[in-house]
Amino acid sequence: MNHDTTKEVRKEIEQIYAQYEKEAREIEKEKQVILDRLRTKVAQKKLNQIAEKKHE
Amino acid sequence: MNKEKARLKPDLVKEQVFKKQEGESVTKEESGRMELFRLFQLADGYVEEAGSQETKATDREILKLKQELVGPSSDEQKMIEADFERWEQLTSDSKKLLEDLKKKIRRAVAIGILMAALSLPAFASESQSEEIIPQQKKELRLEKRKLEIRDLQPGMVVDRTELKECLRNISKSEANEWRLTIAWEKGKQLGHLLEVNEGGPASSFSDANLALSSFIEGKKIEDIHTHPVATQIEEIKKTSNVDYDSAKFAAPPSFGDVSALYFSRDYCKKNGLGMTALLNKKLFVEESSGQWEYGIADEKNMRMERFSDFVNSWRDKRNEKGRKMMISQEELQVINSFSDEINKNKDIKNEFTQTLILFFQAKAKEVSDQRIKEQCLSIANKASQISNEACKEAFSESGVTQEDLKLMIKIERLTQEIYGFWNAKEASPKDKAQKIKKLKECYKELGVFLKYTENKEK
Repeated sequence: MNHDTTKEVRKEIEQIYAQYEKEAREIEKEKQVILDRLRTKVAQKKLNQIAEKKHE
Repeated sequence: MNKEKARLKPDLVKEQVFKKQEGESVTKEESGRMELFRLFQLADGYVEEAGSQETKATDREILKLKQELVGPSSDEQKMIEADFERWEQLTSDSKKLLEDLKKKIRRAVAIGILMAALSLPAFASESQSEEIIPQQKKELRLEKRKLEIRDLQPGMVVDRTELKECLRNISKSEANEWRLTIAWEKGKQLGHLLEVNEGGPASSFSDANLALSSFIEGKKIEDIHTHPVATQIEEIKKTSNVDYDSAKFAAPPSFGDVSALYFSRDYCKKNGLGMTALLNKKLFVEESSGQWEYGIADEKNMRMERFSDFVNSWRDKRNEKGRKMMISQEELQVINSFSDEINKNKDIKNEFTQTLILFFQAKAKEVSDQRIKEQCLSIANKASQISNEACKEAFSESGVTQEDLKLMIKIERLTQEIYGFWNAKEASPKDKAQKIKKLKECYKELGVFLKYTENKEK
């Protein structure tokens, strides 16, 4: 394979991956925010249950 | 590949992908095959890296959270449900993104393979412009003596078995590929040589010049080319530090070789010749470990149809664009100075751009004047760029599917392994037989048959 051809294909693959990584990172970021929020809610729910039990 | 490294330090991961194996001697002047091998590695590395980012563990956690957050309907509960819905949407987007990435990488690699496989000799130790041999009609019967490749000329009448024997022998001694085409009548052992060519394009581009009358006359045509063992010995040593062994390795036709069938198919169609004419053409590879025969098994195969359309559209596009190529005054002078030589090349009409690439690459090696050398390389590079762009354009317009590409990449990888250019350390006679079986199955999916006759005389 011609070296320039490989270089070109390699560059294209790197660009494809960079674009993927950018979009994947955005998705992961949003998922992390949701996950943190849901975890907080579970923790909050458990705390409320403990508080309710104590109150009883 | 380590997930954390992949996510946080992609640069380090890339270095790992290219890490040399123990015993490898990779130099800056790497061979074309090695380039292809590294391209596969790069693509695999990225796909693996991306795949490692899937959030399977978190999905399990989400399920648990869902169970824990079940509650009576309220504004708060609606917000929780909205979060879970969004999570599912994002997970689906993420999967789609990964699938798209795989498709795009596969497409890029496939285009790279196509550009390489369909344009240059697969087995030449160096790229070389076609040797011009005038098509004299020499009714010369070479009497019982061993055929010498350099004595052979178009028009000569030779024994087909002797010819194959001659080619088998030169596959062990000559550094470049040789391609010969012979036409013969059914039941006859003697045939007319139509083409004798050293180096040159891997695919049989020149049907239009030499085979029409033979096709029309209903003659059988055999296109035989060699895969020199010298290339295998060198590449296997270079990539795996292993010695060549014909029991473990072989040199079957590559995807590029098979594409010659597409050109013939298109040629028969354009000239109103039926498929019978095409079925009269058989192709052979003579190489150190044995002989390969391949040809069309199923002329209605849809994959072949799609690849054939693509290959021919690419050829038309690159020729059209090549003729409009922008050239500087200095380059024009160089082209003019070699115009007689260029025009003698019989492929220039049908393969304008490819011929320019091969011609000026070879000239750049030949000339000593540095200025002319630079101009030659510049012309070859421009033509090469045009060919690559035309390939991408033709590919985008083609109906070639992702499944077609997967099959093509599989074929290219298998041939690389059978050649011994990849994983040669693990090669064995049993492994060779299994891979050949797989390769035959792959080619069958393309409507092409493949036969292998192993050379028992070692």
